[in-house]
Amino acid sequence: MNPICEKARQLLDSYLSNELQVETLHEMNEHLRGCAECRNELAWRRQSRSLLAETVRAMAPPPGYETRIQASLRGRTVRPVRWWPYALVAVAAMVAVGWLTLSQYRSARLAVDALLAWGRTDHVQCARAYAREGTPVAADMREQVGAEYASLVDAVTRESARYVVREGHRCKFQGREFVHFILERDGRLTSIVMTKKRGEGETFPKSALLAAMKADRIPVYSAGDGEMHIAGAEMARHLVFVVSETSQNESLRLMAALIPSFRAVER
Amino acid sequence: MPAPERLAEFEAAALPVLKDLYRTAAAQLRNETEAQDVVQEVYLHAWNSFERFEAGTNCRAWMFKILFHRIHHHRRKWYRLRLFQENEEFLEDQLVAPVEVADRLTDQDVLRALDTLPEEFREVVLLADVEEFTYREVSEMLSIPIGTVMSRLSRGRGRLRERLAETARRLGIGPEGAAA
Repeated sequence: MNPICEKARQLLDSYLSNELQVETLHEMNEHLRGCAECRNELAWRRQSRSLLAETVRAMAPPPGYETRIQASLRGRTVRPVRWWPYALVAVAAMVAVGWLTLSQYRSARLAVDALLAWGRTDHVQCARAYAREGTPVAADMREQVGAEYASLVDAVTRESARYVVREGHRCKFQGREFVHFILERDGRLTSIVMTKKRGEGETFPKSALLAAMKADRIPVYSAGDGEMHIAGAEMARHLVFVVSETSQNESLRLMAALIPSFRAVER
Repeated sequence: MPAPERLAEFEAAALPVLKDLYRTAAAQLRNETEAQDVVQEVYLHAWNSFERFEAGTNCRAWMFKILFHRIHHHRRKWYRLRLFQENEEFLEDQLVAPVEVADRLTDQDVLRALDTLPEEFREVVLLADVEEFTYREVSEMLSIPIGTVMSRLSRGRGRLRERLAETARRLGIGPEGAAA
């Protein structure tokens, strides 16, 4: 091959990609006009490149893949707490007292998270989706939540030094009824949620390792991520939750403050 | 993690490139299941760092950059030795007949040829010749100098053409003596 063609072959790919400088491009055009071999080579390179592009571009993701991605993004947004910090605590406790095995701990932790997820569900589906402006009057909230839960209105209103009370109502998701109060502070929402237990099976696993604290002798469980902090507890007939967008401490504080009122509802 | 209300904004910017990311991952990894996992990871990573994404900049290039980070990470995790058969066959350096090969080679022929490229060649070829990123964009995406992009591209394209030409010759469909 003569040196001019050799040089041209080195630049043919850049020529095809339109990445040549103007002067070089001009020289290349000149050469191609007079050289059939390089024109053929150019045609072959163009053809093989478009063959590759067509083949790869035909590779499509399976049906439903985009939906799966979206679901994983949403799952990530409201995902429950990572279990490993708790597992570390559990392992440390096991070393100390030789109590639960790791697998027992993990399955108990999953059971706790599954129950706490009810509080999160109501917060996401109701408070985040429909929280209103303004403050309802206590009498309206009592009517909304019904006589059985009316005493909670006073307990929630006592928090009005820290929060603006936005809602007090009953709502229903996935066949489950919730008594739901929505509070707001600095644009962050907090839900106080009470829902009747579904039979005896719906109970937090009994292990001191799993509870974040005890309030009024009732274990309080906790989960959360960077955005939502859920505190949950089990009463005789109800599961109760505080879902705070502020901090874990705040969800636990509020839960501790409200437990006597939750207890009063059941009397 | 960005505020959940930004999710719609993220999806509007990032989901339109899903197919492009997937096909590149599938072609680079040569495994559809791995490609699906990696692309899903890309979206989760991109969403986690969406706060750092500057609105108005090239979201597609940003997503591809994350894709190749994930692919390299994936490769380090699940490195498999690929057999690369260097074919020493010398191809004639003259072209004596018009080239009409494209219609006769199947997708499998092309993917098999692509599969023989070392990964560092395959990734630049996919980014430049399929996804049509500029040399500079490829260089930024893969964090390699632009000269390296050009030399890898040149060698990658050359080897790919060699493989395609070999297949074509085996099938008796030319290109007669096409140079690599």
